[in-house]
Amino acid sequence: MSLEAEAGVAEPFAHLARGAARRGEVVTESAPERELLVLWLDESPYALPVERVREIVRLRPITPVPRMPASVCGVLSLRGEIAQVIDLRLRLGLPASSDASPRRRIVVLHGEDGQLTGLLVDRVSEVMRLRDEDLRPPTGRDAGTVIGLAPQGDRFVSVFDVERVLDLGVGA
Amino acid sequence: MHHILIVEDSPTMRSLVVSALEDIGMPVRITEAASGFEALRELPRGDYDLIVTDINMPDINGLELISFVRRNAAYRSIPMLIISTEGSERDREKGLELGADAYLVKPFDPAALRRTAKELLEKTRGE
Amino acid sequence: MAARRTQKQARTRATREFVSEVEEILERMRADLADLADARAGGRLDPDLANRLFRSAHSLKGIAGMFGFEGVSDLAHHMEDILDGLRMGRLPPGAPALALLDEGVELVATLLESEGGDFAADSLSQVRSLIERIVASLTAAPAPSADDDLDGIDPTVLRALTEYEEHRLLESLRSGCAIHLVEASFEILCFEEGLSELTRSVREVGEVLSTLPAPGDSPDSQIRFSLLVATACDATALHARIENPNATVRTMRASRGDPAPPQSKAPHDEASTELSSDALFADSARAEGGSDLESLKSISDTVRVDIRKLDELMNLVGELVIQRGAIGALADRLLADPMTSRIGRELAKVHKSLERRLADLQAGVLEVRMVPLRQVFEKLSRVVRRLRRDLGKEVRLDIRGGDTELDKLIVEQLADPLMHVVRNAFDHAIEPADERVAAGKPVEGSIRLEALQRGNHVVIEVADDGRGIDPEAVRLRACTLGLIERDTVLSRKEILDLIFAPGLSTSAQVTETSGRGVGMDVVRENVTALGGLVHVDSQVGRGTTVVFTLPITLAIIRALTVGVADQRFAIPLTTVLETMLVDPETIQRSEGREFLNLRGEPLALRRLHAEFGLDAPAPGARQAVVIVGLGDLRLGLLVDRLENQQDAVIKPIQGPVRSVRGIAGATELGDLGTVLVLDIASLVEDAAKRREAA
Repeated sequence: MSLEAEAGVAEPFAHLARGAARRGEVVTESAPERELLVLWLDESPYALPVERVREIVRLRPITPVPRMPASVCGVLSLRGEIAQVIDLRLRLGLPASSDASPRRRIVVLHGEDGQLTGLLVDRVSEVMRLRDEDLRPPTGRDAGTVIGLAPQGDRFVSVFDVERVLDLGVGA
Repeated sequence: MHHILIVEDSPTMRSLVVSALEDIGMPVRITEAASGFEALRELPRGDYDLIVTDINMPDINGLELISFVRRNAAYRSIPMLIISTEGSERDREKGLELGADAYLVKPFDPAALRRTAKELLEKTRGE
Repeated sequence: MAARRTQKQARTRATREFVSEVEEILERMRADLADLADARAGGRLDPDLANRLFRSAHSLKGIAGMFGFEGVSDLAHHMEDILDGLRMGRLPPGAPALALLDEGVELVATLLESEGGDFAADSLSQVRSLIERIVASLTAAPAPSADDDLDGIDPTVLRALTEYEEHRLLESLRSGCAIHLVEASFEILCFEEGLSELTRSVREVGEVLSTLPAPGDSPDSQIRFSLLVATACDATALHARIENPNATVRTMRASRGDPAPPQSKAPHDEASTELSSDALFADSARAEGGSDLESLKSISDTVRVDIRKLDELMNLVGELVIQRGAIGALADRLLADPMTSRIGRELAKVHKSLERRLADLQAGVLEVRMVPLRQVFEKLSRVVRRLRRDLGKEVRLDIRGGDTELDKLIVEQLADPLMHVVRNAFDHAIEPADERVAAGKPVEGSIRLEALQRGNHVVIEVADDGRGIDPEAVRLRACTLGLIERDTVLSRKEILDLIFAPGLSTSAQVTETSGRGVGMDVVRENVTALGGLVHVDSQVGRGTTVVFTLPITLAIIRALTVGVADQRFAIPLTTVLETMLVDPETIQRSEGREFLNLRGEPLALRRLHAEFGLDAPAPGARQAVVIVGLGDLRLGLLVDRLENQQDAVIKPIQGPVRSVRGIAGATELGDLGTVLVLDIASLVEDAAKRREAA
């Protein structure tokens, strides 16, 4: 499946990520708010920092890998690089989705060490802004993967601690 | 937008200086030069508001760079900040005599670098 | 937020650069120290060399300080003091100073490598004791000599001299050299070429003390350089040397009588004064400035490339290879249909020529990544030289095949395992002199390091003529450790192979390994990670040979794709010996393990579906066997289907799970999508282990 087809979704985020990653000459203006990408799992909203997102791609064939933890559904090739894909539902202990919905997406994150990881989610909706002081403590026990709740209208979005989400408790 | 030139041959030190200055709290644009020669080539290309330079470098040293900048009508008024390692006190004094505006000693405190750089940048704006 | 993030990124970048820069600095210091030791043997101290070392220590001090490695920073600071003393002529370049510096470099290396800068108490006390010794050696040094007058030297130039440059100027004056100011203007956009040409020609007859830039006649486009030069030549002679017609030479101080070259205190200089001064200086320029000429030359025709950029290029080539595959498939489809077969033939022709060019491009990019093993070998030779000096043990290191080339990444990863094996040979395998004499061996021990290319692999042998490994002792030790049963029947080779087992490799008394942390098990692990193999052979009393077998590159390979259940795997063709189809009834069993009669020899089999927990084929279905081999090991992999051969770019699998045993990475194969590449080395080894464990 061609990447160009997804330009509509991927472009704004890719632009943000690229802008931040540019090296050499860096333009810096103070930004009091953080930007979060909102994604959905089992009809609940979650969010993660937009600058960790390299790109968002449509669901496509994922190659299973033997001997991997159950929450890793396989690997995916992204412009020549091979990344593991984590089924975020399984990672959070939610029921697996049998849904072949066209809205399912793989959110590709880049780690601090440059490692790429894909997160399989039900859908991606928008980018929200959050001031640090508006973040509320989490209520659930999502294995510690949620660091807080961000108010959005009359509901709260669960904000991920990305490092914890990516920590599968295997090989450092 | 302030334009800062960083002249430092150690890539590590250079990126530490860059990361400290990126957080200065005012819009800045940073250009890096990995040697004195690179700085000489870079100078005519940008309208710099501050030059941060090391002294001990392989091609031309920081003192020679300061001397060059101060004798050049086009760059004469750009503030210059020396960052050099302890132990080179005499070279540092010479740098100030040649017309550098301030110096910091490595290992430097990022906050002190930001403070000094800010002062120097504000001075240019005042003029 | 944005600001904080970019800072974090810059910090990450700084950390990455810190590690590689420190490695680079230490490497440069080692090389310079070795050169300094050699030069000292010739009675001269090259001031440029001492100054370069000084700057290395200086940089090390600065960056270690920024990262809070205070022990390292402090140590570097004291090494800098020694080097400052050497370059300023306050310290004699004697063996004690050099030994302290050698020690300092190695201590820094160990501190940073083994503990990531997080010092244990005893490392800190090591640092402290070395620092104390340095301080003691420095206080014993004579005070700097009195100042000379600097009348006549251009004050603008003088003002911009660093302390060191000023010292060199005074030294030159003291030795009676003439001091000239050479000036020339260049276009600002391309001054470096002209300036390095000018510097080079001046260096042939003297020393460039300082290079001061000044605004040119039209400051926007021109830059002027003033070179302060110390030489025996007068202005006319110097001007004649310089090929730049625009350059001017002004004499600041004429030479005094019969000048001696600035740093020559060597006894043979008395004899040389009979030679013409030109010849004398040309000679000293060769001796002292040779490396500079060399480096200037190398600047002109080589470029340094970040290996990551090469990886990017490799990715692109890989993608082109996949596209080419798609074009080939398209041509086949067009050919198959009579309606389009004519255009299909044309496309096939285009495809063919594309294939050839692409192969050239691939080979070209691969070639850029290749570096000779010489770099690593020279490092080893320096280590042996130092060990020989420190331990007073007579060991000769013979190096052959340094020109053999390998992928740069492999060469880098290979340095540590090779170093370990060579150190083992030096420390433990080679007997002390008296023992050697008693055994009728030459007093001087020998270690042979040899590399040669064999097909798609490079074989590196480290052979010593030491005491050898006693298989019986290894066997006993392995029994004690519970690695094997007392009654296990093992061949001599299998027993020797036990020295790579984790528990055993660190036991010094038997396996002659040094037990300095990294054991032979880690050596094997590192080599296996590169898709290579390591084996040992040994004769008691005669010596030990460790053999490394490595793939030439990790980048593009030819791969065989096979099917197992609903999955597909790629096997590097370099490891495939042959393939065949077998009927299930021809598979034999012994102790529950399956094997095949391959032309009269038993061949161990492994079923890939069982290995990876995939669905088993229908009972009685014909199976395919891929016979793979690495080094001397053979294994038959049972798969459901043999598919075809493809070019594959093996990529590491990124993400939270760092590695999966048996999987080397993945590759993208056009229509087939992402395909996992099998790690044959680990599969073959697991099979061998299983046999041992039986």
